[in-house]
Amino acid sequence: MKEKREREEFLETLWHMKEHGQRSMDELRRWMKQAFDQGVVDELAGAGLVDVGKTGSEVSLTGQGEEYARKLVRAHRIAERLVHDVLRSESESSACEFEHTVSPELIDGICTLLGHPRECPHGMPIPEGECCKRAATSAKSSVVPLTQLGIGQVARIAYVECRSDRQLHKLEDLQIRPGVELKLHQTYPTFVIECEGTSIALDRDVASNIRVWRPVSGESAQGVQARGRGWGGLGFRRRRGHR
Amino acid sequence: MPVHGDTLMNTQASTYVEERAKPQRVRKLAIVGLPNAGKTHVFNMLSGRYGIVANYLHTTVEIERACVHIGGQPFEIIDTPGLHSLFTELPDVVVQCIDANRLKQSLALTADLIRLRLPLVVCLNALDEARKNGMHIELKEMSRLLGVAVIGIASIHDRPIAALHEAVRDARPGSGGVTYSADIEQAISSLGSSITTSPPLKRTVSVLLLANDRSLPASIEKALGVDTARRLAREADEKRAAFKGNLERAIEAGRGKWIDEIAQAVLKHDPIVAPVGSSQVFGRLCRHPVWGFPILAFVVLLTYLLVVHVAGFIEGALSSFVVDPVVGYVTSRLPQGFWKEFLVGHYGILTQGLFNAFCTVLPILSVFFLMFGLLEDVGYIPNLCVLSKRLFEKAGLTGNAIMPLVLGLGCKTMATLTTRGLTSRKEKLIAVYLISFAIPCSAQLGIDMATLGRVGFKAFLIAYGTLVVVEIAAGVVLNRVLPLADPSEFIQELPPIRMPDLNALLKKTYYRLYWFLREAVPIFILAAVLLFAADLSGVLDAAKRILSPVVINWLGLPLDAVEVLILTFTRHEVAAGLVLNMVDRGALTYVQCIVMVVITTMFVPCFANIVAMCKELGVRTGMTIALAINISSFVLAGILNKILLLTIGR
Repeated sequence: MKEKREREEFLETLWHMKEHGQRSMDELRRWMKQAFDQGVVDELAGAGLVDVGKTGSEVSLTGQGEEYARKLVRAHRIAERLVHDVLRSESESSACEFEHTVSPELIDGICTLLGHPRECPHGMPIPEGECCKRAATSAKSSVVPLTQLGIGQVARIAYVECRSDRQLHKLEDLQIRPGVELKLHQTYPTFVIECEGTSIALDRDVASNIRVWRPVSGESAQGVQARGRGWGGLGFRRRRGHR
Repeated sequence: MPVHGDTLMNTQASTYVEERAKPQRVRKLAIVGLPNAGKTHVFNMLSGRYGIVANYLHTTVEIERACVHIGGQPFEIIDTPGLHSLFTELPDVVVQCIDANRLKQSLALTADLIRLRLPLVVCLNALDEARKNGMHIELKEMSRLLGVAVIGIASIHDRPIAALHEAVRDARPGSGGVTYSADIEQAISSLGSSITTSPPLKRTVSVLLLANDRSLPASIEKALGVDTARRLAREADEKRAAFKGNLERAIEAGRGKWIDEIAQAVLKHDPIVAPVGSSQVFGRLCRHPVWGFPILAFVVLLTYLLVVHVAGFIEGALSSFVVDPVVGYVTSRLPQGFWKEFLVGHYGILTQGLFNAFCTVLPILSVFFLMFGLLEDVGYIPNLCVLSKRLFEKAGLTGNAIMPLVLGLGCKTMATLTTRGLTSRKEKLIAVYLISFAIPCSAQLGIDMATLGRVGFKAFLIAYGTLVVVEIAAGVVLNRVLPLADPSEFIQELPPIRMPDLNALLKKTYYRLYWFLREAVPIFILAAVLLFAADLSGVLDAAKRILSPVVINWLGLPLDAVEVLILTFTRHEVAAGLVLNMVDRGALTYVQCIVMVVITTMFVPCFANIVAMCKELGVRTGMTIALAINISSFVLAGILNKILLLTIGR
């Protein structure tokens, strides 16, 4: 019996291949490089997680295997969000270990804390968990979309979700990226934020892709009031939170 | 990765060849930087010439040039517009302008320039303002880290010409630059190994290809040949697929880290943040969903009053001290006949040409340009894109198309050229159409204000109210008619509100008037001469006879309006000047005056604008748009005429 960890790496890779529309054994070999081991594939096939086809040249996840891999990939990508953007660490390795050791409940907890991210820092989709489906009623997230800030509030960007790389580049060029502080000035007719000394106008879609750490509660109460009026608040209050 | 990759590319490839061939040639110096980073100020300093400076994005669109001697060597300076994709020339030295307030935002371009190993000089503009905002930049440390000269420029008054010249003369390529994690570096070098160019170019091409820069393929094909380009693109695709994670985003992240490191080392923030300045408060009020509109109304009213009353006063004085005596003298001295008609007649070269240009239009434009320049320097106009966003959204414009439209108030030709930044063809079409349709350019707006001011503020409100409605309606129709497209995202940087500088403002107004005199006055005079000739030869009468049903019955205008409509082809302000002249002669009624202003604003985009449209959309589409605009302007002006006749009568 091979290590649990090793088997799980295979399942994750097969999920990855599925996302790329690949299903041949050669592709799997290319992805796994030296770590490829026919024995593990056979073992997974025996456990009913992997379907190797008749000739053995094709390989794909079975329904059961997909369910397993889905949990692993979800854990891995949420861990990446946490480690990469939120903790601002560069090491991929700490995220790599995550999915093999952490329980789904804890992953759901982190997912909630991070405001149910939809994609990992590399732009790959994060499979939805139970907590995402219940998002509206469940516990308050610590990371919220920019659209939930009150006018005049300052918040630090946790991560940015963008479906298009073009949009991400554009935001990156304006220094809208994890770790940077921004201040919300206006929400109507468009969102206006201040970031690294520049005022930037954004539409609602873009603003909701920018996820920020929820500011401390005293401020957000005020923010909610201001939001209730739809606009309001000139942002006359003293700027805070700058270095 | 931003678009500049593509253009820097070609340039570099040919530089290496030419440098060896002709050592004694004129060296090319390119000025690059983000929009509104003070490139034109640096251009003016280096060249001793004047290009319009404004607190505005994309002030310069067409590339300016100048030849100067720096340190005994001839240089050709190219002032590239804010859109760095226009950068298609091969530079030997690059001067990067950085707005000190936006240091981090600018360092991305610095990283690219360092990677290209082009001799580089960095100009840090607006240091005073940054200091006021609590940001201190250590120039020496920055120079050390980047390995290039860093010139600090405190404000627009600061002109460290000698230091700048010295830096350009001794410019050298930067050092350091972005390094990536080991696996990315490996991908870069293995992709680069099959490219046969200089090492910096090899690296640049590899990085941009791996980062999947969409604008790149065409320029690589040009520089390296089609086969090589295809092969490289394929290899890059393979590398991206084989990379664990998303290579594009990893490259972006690597650059972000480099920027953070540099910024951390050179940028010091004040521990106590300065209180929010009054200028920032004003900026917020300008964009405010409630206060923004009264401020806009106030700005418009103030401009109107200044143009009508202050300019009217100057006009009146000029008229009674210059025009009337001269016309009286000529009339009394010359016998009835050709020369009298030629000089002071209906199409007289003096009355309709020279005096109209100098004594009527010039005072109006002086006052108007002063006010417009003030609004530009304050940074008010770009803020309008926040207020008008919802309005434009109804007209089918999302995202980046809004700013070009707002810029159309300045010059429609320039605004049309800025639409090249739009990615969706549908949006581009709508934007180009709307820019040339019902938005007046600044000179015309000024003169039309004066024209309408002659008959009353209500006329002003009716005319411009109509234009706004027509503009939005046109947008809505186009949005319906044209095939669907994905709405683009709206991410728009807004310039800071600044205290305007009187000297800079006067200088800018002076140059605008000078250019007006140089370019438009000859047309005023030529128009008078041509109309005089056409009138004499009977051509004008024939044209009028043919057009009279449309002009008289449909538009309700006098036959002389034909001349105005013909003139709109050349320059809109010349046509507007003629309308003003007609009002002064008492040739137009209240309703006719409104219809006239509305139709001259909509009718025929001026020649330069048509050229710009063809450039952006192709000749066929450009001409179709021009035709569509003409037809709809006739139809709409006629409808307006009928409505006005029914509601206010004559």
